[in-house]
Amino acid sequence: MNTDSHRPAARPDKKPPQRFYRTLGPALLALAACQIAAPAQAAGTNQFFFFPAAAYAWRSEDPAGAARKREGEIDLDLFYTADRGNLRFLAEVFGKTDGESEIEIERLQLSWKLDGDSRLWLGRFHNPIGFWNTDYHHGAFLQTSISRPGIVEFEDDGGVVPTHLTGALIEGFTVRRSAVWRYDLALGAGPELRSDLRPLEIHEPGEGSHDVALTARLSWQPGDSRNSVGAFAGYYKIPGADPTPTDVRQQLAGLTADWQFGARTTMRATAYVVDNELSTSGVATRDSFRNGNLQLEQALGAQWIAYGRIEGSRGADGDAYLNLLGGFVRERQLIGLRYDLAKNQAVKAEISKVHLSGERFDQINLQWSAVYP
Amino acid sequence: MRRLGYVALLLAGLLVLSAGHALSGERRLVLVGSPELRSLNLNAAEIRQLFLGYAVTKDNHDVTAAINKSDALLYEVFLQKVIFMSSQTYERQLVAKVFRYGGQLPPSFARPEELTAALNSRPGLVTFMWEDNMRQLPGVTVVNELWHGSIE
Repeated sequence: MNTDSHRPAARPDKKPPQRFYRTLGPALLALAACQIAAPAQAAGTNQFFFFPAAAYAWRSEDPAGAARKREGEIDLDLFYTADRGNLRFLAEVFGKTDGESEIEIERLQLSWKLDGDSRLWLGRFHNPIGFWNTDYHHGAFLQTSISRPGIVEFEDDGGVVPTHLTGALIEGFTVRRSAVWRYDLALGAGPELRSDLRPLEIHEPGEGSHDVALTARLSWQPGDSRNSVGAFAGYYKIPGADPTPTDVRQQLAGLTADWQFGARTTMRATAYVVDNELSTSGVATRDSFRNGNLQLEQALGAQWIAYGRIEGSRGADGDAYLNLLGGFVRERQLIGLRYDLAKNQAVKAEISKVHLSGERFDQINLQWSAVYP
Repeated sequence: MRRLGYVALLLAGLLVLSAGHALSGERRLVLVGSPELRSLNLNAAEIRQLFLGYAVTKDNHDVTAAINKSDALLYEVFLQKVIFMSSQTYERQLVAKVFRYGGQLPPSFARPEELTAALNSRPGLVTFMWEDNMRQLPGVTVVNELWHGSIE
């Protein structure tokens, strides 16, 4: 759900409409494959979810760098997973319409269960850079808030770090002394830099130029609590394409915490350091910025959750890398309210103050989201 | 005759104590499974992983959990004392786990006979129930105590 995104309105190399149709075929094939595998559902070895959402955004200004002042969007995220012995298949197709239609194969993964509680995945997956990008991606119903922090915004919505990789991923957990240690190690192809980051589309493997991407994450969950803290680091070689080819070597590192205070209060925080080495026509530049976000959630009874989030950046103004990309949210303060209509439906409202590059505006977001079955 | 009196007194005392115990609502919530799992000493973190939908491998057993929804009070106590979440949050967490890692939601049983059949037919399957209810079930043993206390 990206009514929250602030991507530039005029993009010289915006995805052409035919891209929608080129993605539609493979997406339908992926769904057909899910249907072929449907007999497994009777045996309880597969799972299908769909996550519909409808959202509306209103902005106080119509800044040149932002999307439209008023914006509605309808999303549908289809998710399927199946197990066959030690093999596991996972597919996710995301479609949206906000005046234009877009459909994307979000994830297409196949894994083999290694010893114990770990798996080796091959395919296109979510880059494990903090829980926002893996636990809360599409599937709007699952996350408490409507918006996600600007630092982990999707590549085609003004994101500045890779949120999708294609390659190999080892993930798992181990229990040591009553604590759970989770680990992820990803090696694959990262995005290409145009006027935004372009991840490798799994149905168009030869399109664009993609180079090595490496991410590692480790998190610790003590005892029988919901709490966890973690650290992650990534290295990405991002080849540049038109209009001015700029190759980027990006290194990022971060800390993350998801902590519960009592039965009703939850804190989620992430801090990032992002270092970029840019090379344009043989001229090298190096720049770095820091970014952090802190979200507090307070349950008010069984159905209401009030929440607030602050996001901030240091070194973002004038950053050579961020100047290549439009729409990065440097700062934001928001408050919101979530009401669970039923076990599978929620409505949310958010009011936020947003600071893009040199532009500030207020924003109101409304959203209905659900999960079926 | 005096000895018989002492025995009667002792029995009466035990009766009063057990009645008091029952009146106070003291109950034991236990993790149960097939007899092969009896010696499986799962710690709190492992039990939590199980009920969040993960399979846990321990002592060459692949252990998975089933959700016992045959008794509303039992499920509520399980959520409050073991999972520390509301039912809505818990069920959202279960979906989120599948969305993140793949796999299936833990099986959920509303009828005790179906739950018992599943425990007897699926190796490594565990669930939670009141200890006094468990005693009536064939082929099911206590693996761990999850909680004990009074229910107000």
